[in-house]
Amino acid sequence: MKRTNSALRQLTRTPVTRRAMLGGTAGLAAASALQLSPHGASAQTTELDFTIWNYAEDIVQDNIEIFQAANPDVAVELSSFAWPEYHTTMVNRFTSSTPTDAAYNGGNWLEEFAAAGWVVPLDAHFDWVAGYQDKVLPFAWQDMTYNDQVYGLPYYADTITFMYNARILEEAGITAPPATWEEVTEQSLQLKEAGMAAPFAYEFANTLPNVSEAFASMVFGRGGELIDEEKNPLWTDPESAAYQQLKWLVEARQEYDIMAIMDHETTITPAMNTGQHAFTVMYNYNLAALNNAATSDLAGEFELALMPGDTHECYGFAKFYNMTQMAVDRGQEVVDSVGEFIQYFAGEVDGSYPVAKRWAVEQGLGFAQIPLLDDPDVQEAYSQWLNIDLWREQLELARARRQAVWYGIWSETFHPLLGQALNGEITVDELAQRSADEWNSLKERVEG
Amino acid sequence: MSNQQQGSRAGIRRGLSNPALAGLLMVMPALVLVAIFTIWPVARAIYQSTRIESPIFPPQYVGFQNYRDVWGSFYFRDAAENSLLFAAVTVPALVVLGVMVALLLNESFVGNTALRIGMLLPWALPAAVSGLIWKWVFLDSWGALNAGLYSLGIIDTYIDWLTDTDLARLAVVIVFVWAQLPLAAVFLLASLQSVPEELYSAAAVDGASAFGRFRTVTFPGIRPMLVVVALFELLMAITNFDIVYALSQGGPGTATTLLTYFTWAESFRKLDFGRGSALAIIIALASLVLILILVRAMPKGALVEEEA
Repeated sequence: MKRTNSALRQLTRTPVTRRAMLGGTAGLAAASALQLSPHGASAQTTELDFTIWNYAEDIVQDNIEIFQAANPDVAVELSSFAWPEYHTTMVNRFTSSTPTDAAYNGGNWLEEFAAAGWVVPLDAHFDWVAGYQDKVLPFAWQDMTYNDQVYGLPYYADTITFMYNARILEEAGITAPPATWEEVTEQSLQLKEAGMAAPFAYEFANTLPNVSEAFASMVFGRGGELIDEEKNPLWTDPESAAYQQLKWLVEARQEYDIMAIMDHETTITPAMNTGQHAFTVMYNYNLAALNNAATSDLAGEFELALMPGDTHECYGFAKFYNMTQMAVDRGQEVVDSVGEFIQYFAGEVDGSYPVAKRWAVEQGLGFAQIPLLDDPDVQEAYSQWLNIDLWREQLELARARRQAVWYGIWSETFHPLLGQALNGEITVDELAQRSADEWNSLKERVEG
Repeated sequence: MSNQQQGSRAGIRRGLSNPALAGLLMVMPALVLVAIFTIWPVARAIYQSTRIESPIFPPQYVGFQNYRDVWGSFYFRDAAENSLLFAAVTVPALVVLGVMVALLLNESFVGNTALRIGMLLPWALPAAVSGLIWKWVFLDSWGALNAGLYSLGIIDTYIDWLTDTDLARLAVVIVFVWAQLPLAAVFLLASLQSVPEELYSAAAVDGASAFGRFRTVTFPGIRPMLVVVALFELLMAITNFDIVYALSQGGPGTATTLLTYFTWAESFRKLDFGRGSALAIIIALASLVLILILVRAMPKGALVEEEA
């Protein structure tokens, strides 16, 4: 199913004069001749609508142009939306049937979108998808899988990690970064006594998907889980790692007053550059921005530490390319074009992964494609801002979270509750109980 | 022209000579529009509010369960309290400030015209843009306000404007008043200018003070407009969404979550269109009741200009 290209549309709208008629006839004859030629340029292209969140759109557009040059029969129209509003935007697009053929997605909403029938499993349409399983990091593969079907291939994959300012710690006489959350408190109090108002910069906003992901990462660091295998919440048990971490967050804000709350990584990065904060937990790629001398005054001072806790595990995730049901509804040609597009953007092209590698080298984004781990260009780029050995150690300890269709929806209640607890409006127990009640209510509605 | 055509034209003429039928025909285009854009959506919302309507929950009829769920949720209580508090603070503030600004603009001074034009700017900006602009002012870590206060030596640590519960509420109130004040002031200015000058002259002759002139001449003259402005701003406060969305996203916690924001979150973030509709209907009914109470509570003739 192809949409008529704009040149043809313009031709049909031109007022008809005798001269135009003659010209048009000649043109049509030429076009027909070209159509008959096996190597002639096609007068039609398959148009794809590709929706993303607004990270480095200029690079995305450039990648699209490179793809289109190699695939002249496919034209990609890019739409970009703010990350905190991406979920709402996509819900609106899908419910209103706004044309969307391929889109970014993440583990945050895969189950939800798949259960709603908005996105489709790639392995049901393309045989080549299964071949990537051994070439993709396990946590990323798990994050792209729902009900044993693979719905995406990775745009990037990363971990949520613990970062600190090494100079600040050194000047305070602290010889090693914190290995447990108790040590984070101790070191923060030491820094606070020396005059730093809020050593721990915490990324938090009601609508930010990262909040529950970062919470999961902290819980994983303690060796815990958010839910059991039957999808029951674990955080109401005061002995659980999840409860302990909720308690730590609330105490850090209310009791020890060591936490500053900031609403996005783009706020935290400049704030860390003021030298007024020593610790933070963010998507790992932010370390590249923090240590980028072109944009960061304190570049070179920021280091990665293993996620504090007993096991030092962390949350690993993939953001990936989905194909939508709308693309399938448009027909096989569109499906094939989306397949070509996703394979170019996420897969192997002539023995390399051009797009994933570009993101890694230019932006410091993580990746899921295992062969890139040993790519010299990637290693060279990463070594500018990261201790590669430590990063690989953290990567080995990364895992995806257990899935539940209602996870994203539950987060919408969990975040405001956590916000209330951070501000002392409710207790940790109330936070744990109310968010568990919401979880159980959603579970019951979905599972019946 | 055939006999049949002539017959139908005569029928139309007879129909139009019937005043009731003619009236109905004339309002029909407007009625159709109202039906399409008001009655049908409201009916659809009522229907939806009695169902589980979500892309991921199995659809089913649930009667008033959505209303009970919404009413019983902690989120609703917080949002309702916030909305009432928000309206209770912003509406009087807008009326009082609106009168003061209108009185100022009613005086002649150099730059009056430029001020009148310039002061409309906040009102002309989309609310979401206002919210974003003010977000950069209030940002805790490196917002313009903290930076300014710090560089002037007024504060030695940054203030949590958007992450402290009370300060975040204050920030939303400030932005809303900033955005709404121009319109309130312009309405009241127009009303002020319709007060006959002779009344002020007579009051001056009688020896009335400035406050006395305001109490006995200005206030009665602008009272109908004050009521209109108060009711309008009450509705704007109850339906305010954009500023909260852009400035605080309802946070910290639920501190700035108003009922409208809750409705949006319930529908589009939690994908529960049934509960979202139930909430929208509760808000509409509550607004109606609140306005009726206010109108009833007003002194007789408040909406009617008194004889001069």
